[in-house]
Amino acid sequence: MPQEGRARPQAGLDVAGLIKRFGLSVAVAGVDLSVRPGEFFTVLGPSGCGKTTLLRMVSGILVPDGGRIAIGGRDVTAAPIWTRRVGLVFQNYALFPHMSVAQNVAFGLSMQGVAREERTARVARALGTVRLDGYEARRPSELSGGQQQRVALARAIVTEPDLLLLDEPLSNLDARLREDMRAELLELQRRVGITTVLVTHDIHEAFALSDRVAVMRAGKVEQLGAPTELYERPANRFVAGFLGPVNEWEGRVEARAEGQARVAVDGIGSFDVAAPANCAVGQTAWLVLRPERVCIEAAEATASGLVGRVDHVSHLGNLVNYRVALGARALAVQSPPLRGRTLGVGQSVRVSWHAGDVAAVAL
Amino acid sequence: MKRALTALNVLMIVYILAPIVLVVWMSFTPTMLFRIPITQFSLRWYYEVFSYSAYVDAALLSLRLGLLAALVAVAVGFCAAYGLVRWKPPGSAVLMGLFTAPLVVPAVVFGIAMLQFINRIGLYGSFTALLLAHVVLVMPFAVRTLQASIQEHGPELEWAAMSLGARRWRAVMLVTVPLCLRGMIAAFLFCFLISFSEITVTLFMTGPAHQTLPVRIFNYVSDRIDPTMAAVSSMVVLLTVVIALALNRLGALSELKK
Repeated sequence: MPQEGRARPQAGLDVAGLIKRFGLSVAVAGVDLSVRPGEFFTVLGPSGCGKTTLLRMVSGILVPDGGRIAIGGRDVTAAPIWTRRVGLVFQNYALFPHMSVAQNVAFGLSMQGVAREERTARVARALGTVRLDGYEARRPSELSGGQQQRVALARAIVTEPDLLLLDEPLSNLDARLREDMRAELLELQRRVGITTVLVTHDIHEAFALSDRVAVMRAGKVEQLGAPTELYERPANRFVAGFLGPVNEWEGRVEARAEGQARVAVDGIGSFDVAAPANCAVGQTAWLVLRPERVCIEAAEATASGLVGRVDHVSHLGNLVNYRVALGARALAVQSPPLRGRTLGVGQSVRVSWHAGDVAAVAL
Repeated sequence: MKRALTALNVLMIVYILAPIVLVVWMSFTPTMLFRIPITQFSLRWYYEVFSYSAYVDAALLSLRLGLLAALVAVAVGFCAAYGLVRWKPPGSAVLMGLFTAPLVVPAVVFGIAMLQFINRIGLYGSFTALLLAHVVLVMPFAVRTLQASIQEHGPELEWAAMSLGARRWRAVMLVTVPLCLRGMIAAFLFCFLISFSEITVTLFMTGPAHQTLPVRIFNYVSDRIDPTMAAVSSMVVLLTVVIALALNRLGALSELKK
């Protein structure tokens, strides 16, 4: 695939103190973030967290009630949408149904006054980029969902915008196609090198695609970082729980020394963890442990670890989810199926984990 | 039981259609008086209609009035519907009520009010006055039909167009208007149909100079009765049926029932 030469340097996005209210409710309550040029950035959050509102302010569809937006260093806070040089892709594709595929893709070029011959050539190249060569004359209604979304992508990138904004672009596709499109989208973004902001509620999508992720809740960014960083070092209980199933323990801070803290959890033990922000001795602290980090074995097979009893088993094929009763606590455990024998309900087991896998989080 | 219901249905259809069939039938009799059974077929009264210039003039006036009123109503109604759908201004429910008020206000009341208003601004007896009244009368049909049509397509299409460099006006003209074309044609036909057959308000508005077809028929029938009016009525029925069929094809009739 030939490398598309970019006529202009890549642009970053800077958002500072962005606020949007709808009536009495605050949809976006002061968001700061900056997206590096060429980066694939994702805003992840449950529905209603304000992520789409944020994206609409960046694209110029909505006018913010406060704050500042800059694309490539240019302040566009008050600029109308048609001057912002952003490519938009929507969940419902938003292709112009009365136009052919070629006319759809050529729309932005016509608006820029690009000459006919150049237009045709660039449309063909853009369709090639999304592997839809020869589809020029088709109508959007004749295409599958995945093909429509690829046309929408071609339409968005053909004008070489500064920023590609994707609003849940894969949510309308079925699971299988979504994975294919995910890979394709990533490959396309890398090849074209366009700064991209994706909005999604799908954790897997965010993790598979993004260089960095901002997790939003109730109009605010809860944590921002690389996917693995968020997963392994969640800043708070919400982020920990939103990114996947997690065991949470409420403990008490027993001691603390520079950066470290010792947290005791009744019935489980004490843990040395990186100290969460402003924790003092005697205060409550929350610890989290991912189910897949727990080792589970039959009690008679090992002498290390805590003894518990299997409460519930569910097989997922490549993985097995257990619920283990540890005294009064329930521990979620996920592991590949054990070779040879299975652990059944009521069986006595030992569970253990690496001390470094337990993390302290803020409330 | 089922047979009784079928019989009732047939009776009702006969009841609805009989007067129309009778009028059409009547228009083809050669004689002055309508006699059953009919033995002869003649286009005499149609010939009479077209040689009576008052009918022809009235028909042309109605046509001109209907087309113009429909055109203005669709243009203004599109702007109104667009604003109501896309911007949802505060009090948009009240505004919508205002646009559809002519459906609720009794025609006589509206006619008298309009007459006084037109008199006050010194337009009585003019074609403009008639046109204004008809635009108001047909507006509910335009706004309702176009509102449904605009609502059918979300704002994403316009956003996409604007993100690609089209100013709002251009995005609306290049994307929204073409997509609402069916709705616009339907609204136009609707408005024309309403205007073409309107009589109550028109009676108040027309001086002797501007008698629309329904008014002319009404005045004619008050004087005397002969089969020319049956011929005129038959032609109006034909036009109405054609437009109604077109509207049905456009799916506009079911739209209005919502």
